[in-house]
Order: sequence, then structure tokens, then C-alpha cells
Amino acid sequence: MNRIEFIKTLSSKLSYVMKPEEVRELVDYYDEMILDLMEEGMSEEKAVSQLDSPESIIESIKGTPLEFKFPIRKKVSPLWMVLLIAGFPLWGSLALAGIMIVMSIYILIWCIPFLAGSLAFAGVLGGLVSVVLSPLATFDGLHIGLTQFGIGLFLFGAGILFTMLTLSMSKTFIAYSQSMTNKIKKILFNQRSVVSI
Amino acid sequence: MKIGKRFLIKLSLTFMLVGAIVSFIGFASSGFDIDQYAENQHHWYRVVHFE
Repeated sequence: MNRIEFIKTLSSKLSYVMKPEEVRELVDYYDEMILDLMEEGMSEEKAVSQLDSPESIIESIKGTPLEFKFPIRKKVSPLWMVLLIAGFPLWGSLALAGIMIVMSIYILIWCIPFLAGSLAFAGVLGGLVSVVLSPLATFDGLHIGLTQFGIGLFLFGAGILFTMLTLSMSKTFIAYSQSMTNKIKKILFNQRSVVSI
Repeated sequence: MKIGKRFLIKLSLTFMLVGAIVSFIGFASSGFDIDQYAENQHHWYRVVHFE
């Protein structure tokens, strides 16, 4: 059997069990397989003989579930439209309150890394300024310069520690925020468009 | 040299410890007297203030 005969037989047999576009997809797939084998150096007949026979392909397809795409009906009745418009003051304010609650949860969650970040920034900057200016403070007294230098070192160390804490916390909070956003999106926009039978 | 998380933690803790010791020495050299810091404490280069 050559390539054309194989494709003709396969498509005529498939047309009894599948939709035309599915038949075309499957025939294209087998045609490409034959062409690939021929590119590798096989003759047309040899390449066709490497594949299953059209009958066995039909048999193997019969058991597999098919997916049909049903369009979602988005028709809104006029009554619903009127109710939506008339009820906007109610549902609109409720929706706004919901959005505000979600926003406040996000803000509340991010307060913790923001606080750690502020402490890190203040620590590193304050420490550096304190250390750099401590020689000038020494002119007012050695004890003043020493105290300022020591406080500067302490602040700088604390700043590094808070920077690391902020970075590690931010990763966790980003992951948590992403999962929370995905959950909200799933709740709000989850629609089924593909039905398996 | 590879700078890892543990190294940075050790470094920052060392800074904090050394800073605490140095500031304690500074405060000790004033005779643990806050009044010793009162002079010129509002100069722009002064970070340590005691009100």
C-alpha cells in the first residue's frame, strides 16, 4: 500500500467514527509520520508498512474519549439586564466592599516585610552615617566618638540582618500572594468550556 | 570567596557584638555620665543625643 492509498483508506474509515476536523488532524498526523520515515531513506511502501493498518488505528481510537467544545451561552435576558442596572447601588457597593477587603488583606500582609525593609534601610544608612561621622564627633570628646562609632557598627549589623530577613520574607510573601490571587481568580472567573464524554 | 547566607548572618552578628562592646567602652570612658555628651550635641555630625 502506498501513501495515498493509506491516507484514503484511513480517512474514509475514520469519517464514520469522528468529526471531519478530527479526521483531518489525525490523517495529517499519519501523513507527517510517513513523510518523516521517507526522509530518513525508506521507500513509500516500507514507510507505510511501519505504521499500524487503518483498521487497527480505528480500533485503537474507538476506546478513547473524545473532547467536544461547546460554546458557552452568554445570552443575558432583558429582565436580568434591568435587575443588574436597578440593583447596581446594592451589588456595586457590596462588590466595592469585597474589593476593599481583599486589598486591605494584601496591605496588611505586606506590612510585615515593609516594616522589616524600613528597619533594614534605616539600620544600614544610619550605621554608615554614624561610622563615617564618628571621627568628627571625636573632636567633641573621645568618648563621644567611640560611642557613635560603636552605635554605628551595631546599627549596620542590624541593618544587614534585617535586609536578609526582608529578602527571605519577601519570597514567602510573594508566593503566598500569588497563590491567593490565583484562588481569587479561580473563584471569580472559573468557567467550563470543554466537556469530555 | 563565596558569600553565603550563614556568612552574612555571622558578619552582621559580629558587627552588632563589636558595636555593642565599642559603644560600651565609649560610654564607660565618659564615666557612665550622660552629662558628658551634653556639649555640642546638636551639631550636624553628632548621631548620639541624650535629651
